[in-house]
Amino acid sequence: MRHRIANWLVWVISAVVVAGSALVALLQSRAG
Amino acid sequence: MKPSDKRMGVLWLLLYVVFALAPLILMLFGERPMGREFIRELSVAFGFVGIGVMALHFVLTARITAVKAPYGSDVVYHFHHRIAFLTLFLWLAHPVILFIQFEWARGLLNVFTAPWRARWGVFSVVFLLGLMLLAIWRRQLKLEYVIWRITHGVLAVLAMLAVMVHAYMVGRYIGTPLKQALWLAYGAISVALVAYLRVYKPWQMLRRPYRVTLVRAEHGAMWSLALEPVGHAGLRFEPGQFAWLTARKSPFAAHEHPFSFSSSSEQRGSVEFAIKELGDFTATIQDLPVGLQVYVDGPYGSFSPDRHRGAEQRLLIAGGAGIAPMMSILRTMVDRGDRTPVTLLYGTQDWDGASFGDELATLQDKLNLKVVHVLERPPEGWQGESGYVTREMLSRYLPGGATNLHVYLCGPTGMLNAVEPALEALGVPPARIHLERFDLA
Repeated sequence: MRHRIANWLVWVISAVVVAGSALVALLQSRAG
Repeated sequence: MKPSDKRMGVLWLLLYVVFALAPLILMLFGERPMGREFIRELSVAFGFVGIGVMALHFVLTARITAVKAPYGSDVVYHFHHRIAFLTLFLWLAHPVILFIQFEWARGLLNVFTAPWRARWGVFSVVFLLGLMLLAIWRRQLKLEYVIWRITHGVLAVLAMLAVMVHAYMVGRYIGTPLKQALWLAYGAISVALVAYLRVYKPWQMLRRPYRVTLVRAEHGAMWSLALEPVGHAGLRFEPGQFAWLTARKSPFAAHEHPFSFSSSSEQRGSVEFAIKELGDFTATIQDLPVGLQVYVDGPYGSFSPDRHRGAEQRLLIAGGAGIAPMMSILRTMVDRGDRTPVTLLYGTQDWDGASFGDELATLQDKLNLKVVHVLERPPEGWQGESGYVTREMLSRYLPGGATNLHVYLCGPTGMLNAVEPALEALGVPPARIHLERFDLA
């Protein structure tokens, strides 16, 4: 159970990290 | 789980996300360079967040009790193994995006002609790739555990240092002193955690040595190893916890191995481990002379009934070497006069492989205990349980009705993977199933 939660957290954190990177890249690419 | 553990578990998780994303968020604050193509900025963002995630691996593996307590050591290592793939993805995505998108970037791969800022980047990825490949294929490569651990640590530090130098030399987004200070802190904390684990902790162990007082052969290729503290009061542990043992080597040599305590936690001073012959080091336990000075780092782990005080009933399921923490739990229950009903399902290959058989029989008289031996290869005329621990078998030993049952499971990975879902299918709430895995590496 705890390992399954850990696996799930890895996916959530990975998604947050990739989405966060894309958002920051988007904001920075528009920086004047 | 204690309520304070739950709170700390959530807090550590939030801090993990904050520190992983901090380098990314820092990119947007203070003095910012002119924007470039989205894909190029995405590559940079992956690189920055990759460093943040990498730095956090040092926290995960630094054996900080407060960090591990809410989840258990095995879960923290499991998370470390899985999140390593995210780290590798980010570290590879950073250059690969540039190579695909920009022709000029491909030239940076040649370490003989590339500028030093790019060389350090290449070095860092090579170190991380080497580290990951050795971790994944350690067994196939027949790499000795201790050698692998040292290599793992050295490559991790080299990768971290190389990537920090790379980021500094590129210099983009870390122009302000505040950002530079924060980046320096990431690097310094990573190195400090390694120093804590490999210098401070061994130094502490050196100051608090133990002496071998007994090496006793048990049935089933198991050895009981008793140690007494030399010049100090010893350590306090909870039944079910484990410690790292160093014998015949300096604590600084990182030649240490994790073993569960098997003695009662109520016993003051001396401690005992039950160690099964499973590998190179464990095969030498029988040769440890009485009087030998050894070192113990612990206790660690959250696999303990002491963390679930309200239990009205306990089911212990052990496979092979998994009997060690169960012996500690049962011996502690005797010393505490704990009459909580407890059933032990003990799976072994055959009767000769079952350790502590006589003592377990005696413990049934002292505790409210039922011992069930499950033999994979039972002798002729065996009346007890045989084969593997199955759902059908478990159903015979689970109490009926809504009792506050806690299940403790320790054994080979295959057994844990089969028994845990079987317990859940039989209606045992997942939060009351507690596992201890041997394989932390």
